[in-house]
Amino acid sequence: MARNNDLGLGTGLWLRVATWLSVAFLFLPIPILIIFSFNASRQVTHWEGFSLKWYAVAFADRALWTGVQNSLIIAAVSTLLATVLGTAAALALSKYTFRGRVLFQNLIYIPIILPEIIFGLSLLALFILIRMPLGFTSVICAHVTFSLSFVALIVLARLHQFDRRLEEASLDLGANRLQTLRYVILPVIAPGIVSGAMFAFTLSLDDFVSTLFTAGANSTTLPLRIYSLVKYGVTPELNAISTLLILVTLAALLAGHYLQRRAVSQRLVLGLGGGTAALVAVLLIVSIALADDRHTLNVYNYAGYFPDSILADFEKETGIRINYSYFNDNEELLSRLSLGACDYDLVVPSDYMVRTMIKLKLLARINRESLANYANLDERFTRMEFDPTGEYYIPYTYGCTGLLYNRELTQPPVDSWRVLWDERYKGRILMLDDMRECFGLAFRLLGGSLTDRDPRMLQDALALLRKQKPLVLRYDSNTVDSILLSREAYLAPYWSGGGLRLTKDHPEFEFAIPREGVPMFVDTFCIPRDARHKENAERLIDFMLRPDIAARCMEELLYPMPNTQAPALLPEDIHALLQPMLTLDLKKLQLVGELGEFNKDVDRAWTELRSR
Amino acid sequence: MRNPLRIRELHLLLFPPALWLILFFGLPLLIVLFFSVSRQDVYGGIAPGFTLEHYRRIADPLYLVILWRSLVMAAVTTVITLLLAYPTAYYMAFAPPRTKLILMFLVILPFWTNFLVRMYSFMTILGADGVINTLLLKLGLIHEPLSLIHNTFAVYVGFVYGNLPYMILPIFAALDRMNTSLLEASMDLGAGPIRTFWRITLPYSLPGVAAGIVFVFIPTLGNFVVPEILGGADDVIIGNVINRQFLASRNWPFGSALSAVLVFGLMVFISVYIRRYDPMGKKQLAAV
Repeated sequence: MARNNDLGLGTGLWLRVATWLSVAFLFLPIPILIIFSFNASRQVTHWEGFSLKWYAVAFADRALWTGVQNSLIIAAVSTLLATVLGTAAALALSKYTFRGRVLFQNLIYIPIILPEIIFGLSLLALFILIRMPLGFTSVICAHVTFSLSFVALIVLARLHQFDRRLEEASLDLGANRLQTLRYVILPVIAPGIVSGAMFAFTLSLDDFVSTLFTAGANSTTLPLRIYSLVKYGVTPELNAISTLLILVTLAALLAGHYLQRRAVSQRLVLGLGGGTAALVAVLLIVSIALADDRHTLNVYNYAGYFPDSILADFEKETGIRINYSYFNDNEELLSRLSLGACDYDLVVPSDYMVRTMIKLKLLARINRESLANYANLDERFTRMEFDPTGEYYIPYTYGCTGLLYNRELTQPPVDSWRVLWDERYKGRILMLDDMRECFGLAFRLLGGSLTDRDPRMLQDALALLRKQKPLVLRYDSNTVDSILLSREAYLAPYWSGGGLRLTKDHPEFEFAIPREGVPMFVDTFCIPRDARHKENAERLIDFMLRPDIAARCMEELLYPMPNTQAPALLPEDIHALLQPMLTLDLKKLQLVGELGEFNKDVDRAWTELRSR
Repeated sequence: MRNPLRIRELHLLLFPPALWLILFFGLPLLIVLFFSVSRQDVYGGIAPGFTLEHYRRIADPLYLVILWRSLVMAAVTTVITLLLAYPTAYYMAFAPPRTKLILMFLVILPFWTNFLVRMYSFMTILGADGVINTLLLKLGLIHEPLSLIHNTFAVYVGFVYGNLPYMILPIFAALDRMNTSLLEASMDLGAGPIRTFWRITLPYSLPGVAAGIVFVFIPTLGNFVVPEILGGADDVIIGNVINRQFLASRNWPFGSALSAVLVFGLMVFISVYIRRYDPMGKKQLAAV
């Protein structure tokens, strides 16, 4: 039916311009995304020439493919369940009046319109309370719940167009209810079911927020992997992945179009889709049942903090399969671990957090005798103040927060934290999105330490940071290097590993240790009390303490490790780069301890700083 | 109606989804409500005992300001989205079938890439050395990169971008279903195009607009990812605060109290709104 009829509706020039403008706005990021997937540079903002290397990186990224696999399994199973349940709900709503109908209707509507964060966290609360381990099942439960509502609404819309007399006629003519459902109702609503199922599948594949809350040690999905890539530093690998995703969807769409052209019935599509999903579900259950659980290791760590190549070598050498999931900071690690629902075998907390975890009885004693390479450790690091017995942790790396800046855009000297309050750099300063770092720095400048837990000094520190805020471009811990490289910001406090990496590749950057001193951290290997694969975790720890492996780690991360043998194996340039860190006088450095109740006050001050 | 077979069928159809939703949706909300009046122990756990202290803490002007700002941001986003979406949906609805199909395709296309990636692609576009700034510099229109990213403007761009399809599709669905003979009649009877729009087209599209508003306003209110990625030093909204309470500060009771207030507010809004406009009752989702 040609609807742009003789009335000439919808043909106005301004209308056309407005339409194409908003469509262009929607479409614009896609070609740019695709173009930059061929960028030779590490940066996503700066074009440096054509290259296919990011596709190679994406194909070699094992965690990515595990994520794809997990996402597909979760999407298939949750789509199947949501489609069945949602269709049933729609049929019940359209065919019957019953007591509680309005309530039921609201139960269907509300999941769609609640902000997803509420949905995710309330489900997390449920799983913790009933002590259900987080993993595939919990993610699937979450996805089914919100998809169910969408399927129900879409099918319901289709049912509204259904002529009820057909059903009556069918029953009158002697068909039973099942036959009527099968031969009369289903064919009419089949298109609704198909589009509902497709919608559910897409939602599940793309879902981030509720997955973030409900995923466990072995259920990292593609969006979670993408989020971690984003956190570790955006590279064109992301663009390459997205381009591949677009291609796959396009292919699926074309296939769908072709099937439609060939007049393949909706019922066949439905049957095929349902069959595939059911098959995947069965395979999943079988594979879970058959999987040799003894040879797995669930690692919970910062994204990229164990180099991929080293993990791959470990897997090859030992036959142990590693599931790697990610946290952003110590607090997130603690909140997950204290939920006791996550099945982690190896975690990487920092110094003060080890103490908190010991107090909360979250950690297991590590069997140091089983570590052949334990003797390689620098003794100054094996019994530190946060665990004087040294029983609960093995030191992994250490570092400090220094001042990273662009020499070409700043005026010397940049040797004091005070420069972060310099009016000349208004809008060019980045601060870490980390309340301990920001308040720790302010306390240091005020001549104190966060660990003093002094509420009066907290107010002064807040005042100091508020004075600085107009100069701050953004509080950010994840994209510091991209923003500095784009020259949008000139200077930032940053962790030594990331700072040194930037200075290594870009000579205009300098990583300074300001004269007021710097906070230090030690990141450690710890094993949760309930770890089911403790021995595998100890094998990985031992592997990482091997001098050759430690040297490779240091080279990749640019964080020094307290390993007495490894530095000699470093390439010369890396050794030179790390030299200032290796020779840091540990006596002068300060670990920032835990804050206890004071944490709440700092949190309030932090929220106040960030929001006004 | 008392046919036992019918009743059995109803039970078969009703119980599985109802149980599922009660267990995985209703119950969790009640648990959050329960957490919100529980005490907190030092390390973020839930301690036994009833307290309203977390609700008192919300009354702190600090959190009220954030709540207010979130409401304003969500409302402004909704208005901008509506202004962009309406002409687009209108044009789509009356376009020839081929154009309609192409436009539909282009509107849905962004959904195929991950949401986070789409937000990050704005770094490539808006950044100081991004596509727009490079272009303008090359053309000599500006001499110094414009600040397009890491500010509230960028957050709005992200919000509008992410939500536009959710506004276009329901309005399009409403207009597309409209009976054109009504318009013809109106024109034949001497009403001009403007009057026809006001008296016929607009009222017909209102259910779509109402649905679009719900689909844009509410998710925006809870979104914490966009401000985190595109925002500046100031752009903290209620979603960020709630997220922090759960994943960073480990203050479950306070996070629960904030969530409960948000949910309660939304429930009131929605129940009033649904009664008034019935955005869901009218097959709004058929287009999707």
